[in-house]
Amino acid sequence: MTVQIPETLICENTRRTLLSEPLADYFTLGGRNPGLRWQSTACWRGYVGTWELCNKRLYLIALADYLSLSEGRSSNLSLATLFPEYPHRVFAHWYWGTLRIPMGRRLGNIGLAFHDNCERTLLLRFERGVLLAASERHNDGKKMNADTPMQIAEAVALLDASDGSVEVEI
Amino acid sequence: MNWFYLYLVAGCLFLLAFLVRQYCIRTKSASSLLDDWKGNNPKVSRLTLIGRAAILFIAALTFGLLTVVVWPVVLAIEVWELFSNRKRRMNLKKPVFEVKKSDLIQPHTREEIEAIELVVDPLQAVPSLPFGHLHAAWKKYLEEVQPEDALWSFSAYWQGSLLCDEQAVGYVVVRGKRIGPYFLAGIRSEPWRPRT
Repeated sequence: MTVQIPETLICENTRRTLLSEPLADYFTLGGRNPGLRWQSTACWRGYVGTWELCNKRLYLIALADYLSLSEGRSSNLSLATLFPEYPHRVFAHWYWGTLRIPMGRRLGNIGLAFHDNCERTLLLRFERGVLLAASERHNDGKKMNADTPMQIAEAVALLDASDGSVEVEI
Repeated sequence: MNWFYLYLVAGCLFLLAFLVRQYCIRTKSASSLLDDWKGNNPKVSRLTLIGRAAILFIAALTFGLLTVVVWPVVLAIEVWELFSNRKRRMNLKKPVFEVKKSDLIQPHTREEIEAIELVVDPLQAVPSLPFGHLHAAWKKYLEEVQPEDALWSFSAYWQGSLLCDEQAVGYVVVRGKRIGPYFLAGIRSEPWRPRT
């Protein structure tokens, strides 16, 4: 299975790789889908979203199609395609899930869409698009699979700190 | 000797048919082979264009020669995959979500629900309406609700994917003793945890 191009999360001007797909829930809950289709085995969902965490709220701030991004041309897909009246920012109030953000160094080159291929994973739990809780999961060593709860402010500071994590380039 | 040449010709024809089939399957993704190979592998990304082309050429040549020589084996694998995939698809029926009586929480009027689910955002990135960006879906759902129906809130666990259980929350029509159509307001899912 090909590694999937991840989404991007921006927090305090720092870009992070995001291993969750909050827009998928929007479609599941009955949101309008303009017929997004896979364009490459590296992007089965057909789009790449950029999200922002602002005042504990999750916003979708950009949407693009994978082929345009990979070929460096302007995207046919944008926020206005899905949300014509909100072309710059959309509050993800439909999201009740947990965002996964890889932290620390990579543990290898190959990883699956659902596999956290990094030292630690920051887990941000949302309800109605608002950040409720945060924890950190260790993916190797003695603490493997242990979730350590943390304060939200602490998690946000961690997102902004430079720890050597690399955003996956498209 | 003639039989050997015939075998090789059959192998070439099989290779041609195999490549045409692969091309038809992957026609929408010309770069898929490269994607599969490259993934996010920085070592591969560092190779020069000539280096990548050389590796691809050698891989394609090896694959072609092997297929021509051992084409009955490749054919057997293809047939086996075809039948095993069909069997797998038949066995993997996606669970259908349904609300049970035990999932019901409490009755609400439509006005109560719309007050509870009103979405407001300080950055005004959502319409200030019940269910916000999903308001159109809610309006469509209400078309199914009849005047004598009762609306109940519900919370139900179900196996939404192969990897994790999900908790679906929302509202459902209760028609006498029967449970009618539902409206999903949210899906809670815990991230996948690898087994140790």
